[in-house]
Amino acid sequence: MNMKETSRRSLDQRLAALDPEIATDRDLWPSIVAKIGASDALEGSLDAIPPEAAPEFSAHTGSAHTGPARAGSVRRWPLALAAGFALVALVGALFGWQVARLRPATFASSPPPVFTKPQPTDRDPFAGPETESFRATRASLEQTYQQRLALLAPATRHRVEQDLATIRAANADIRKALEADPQSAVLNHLLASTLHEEFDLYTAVIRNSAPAVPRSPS
Amino acid sequence: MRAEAVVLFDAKDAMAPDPADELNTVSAAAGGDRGAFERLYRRHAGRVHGLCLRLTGHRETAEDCVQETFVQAWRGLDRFQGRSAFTTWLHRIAVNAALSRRRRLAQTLETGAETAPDEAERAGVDAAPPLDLEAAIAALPDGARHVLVLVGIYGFSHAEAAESLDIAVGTSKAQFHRARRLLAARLELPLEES
Repeated sequence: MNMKETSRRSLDQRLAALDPEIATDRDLWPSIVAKIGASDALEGSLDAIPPEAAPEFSAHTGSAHTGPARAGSVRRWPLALAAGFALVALVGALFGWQVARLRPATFASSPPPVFTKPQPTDRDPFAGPETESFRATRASLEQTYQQRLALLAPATRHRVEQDLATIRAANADIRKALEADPQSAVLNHLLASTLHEEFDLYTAVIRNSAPAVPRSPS
Repeated sequence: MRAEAVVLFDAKDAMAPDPADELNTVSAAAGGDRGAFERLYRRHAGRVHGLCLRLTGHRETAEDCVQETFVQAWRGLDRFQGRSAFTTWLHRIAVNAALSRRRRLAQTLETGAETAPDEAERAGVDAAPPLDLEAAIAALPDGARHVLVLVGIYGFSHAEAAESLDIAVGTSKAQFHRARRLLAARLELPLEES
């Protein structure tokens, strides 16, 4: 056995000894089930739609979803593109905050975002899917979010609240549009996307206001 | 979705669940059983997180990757046909999610995915104090680290790693060799050049 074989074997042995599993710092299941809940709500709304009007979007777009045991795919591109363009506003709304999170020193001097002003409504514009598990998960997340929000710097808190208001305004607008066209696949997808954005925002606030954790995987 | 390959991870799946139980659980989840899907999550989350964390090198990004992996898995369970191990299928989703997020992170930080190699290569050669293996892996250039993680830790073949990473098989082998060479230098292990 030469030196090369010995060292390689040693390296291989070390690699083989590494545990493939690394536990997460927190339980990610609540966030996952919340996103799944949004998907299921969407699926429920799409079940009433004729197959030709309810295309199956690719999961890789991240903007539309299908639950298991759901099939059908017709004319994906036009609707996917439309949904993608419409989501730009939502993504943009969160982008500023994400940048501010990475570079807090420059955040305060950034220009005000061009967001849609939230419109007052006479009911909760963000009621979400009418399932008990979804409501419970959302309530739990929102409660923790509210607690963590209070820990943020005022400027950051203001920006987060602006972003959430934008998401909720978009949700309300989409719901209003759905009243006129309840079977619109695009609108239903966009509605679910606002739910995803809301949960992502909650998760980002909760995560980034939590005590620091070690960054090394070791 | 890509065609599924042969069953993988035989050597690394010593702790794998009973295949029949796994198949039943997957079938139940595919039928909409949220409890069954949670069992799959509990069973595989650590491994998926390990893969995501080692591929992205960023803990928060890895957590996002885990979430995305399981959400996409839920959405795509009806397309899982059992020709490969569920772990294999899940890991492929995770690799795609990790690399996608890694690219976005690199763009956000304005550090291009392959801007580090020279620095890492120098670090491997000039090496100051020896690092532990995880830290040395994390310091590898992206291309070399991705192949090493998939092949060296998670049991992918070079063909499978190449397909997952969208590179040639020869490139996968070359990156694996490069990763070993860098690791050996960084960990101060003797390694003759071939």
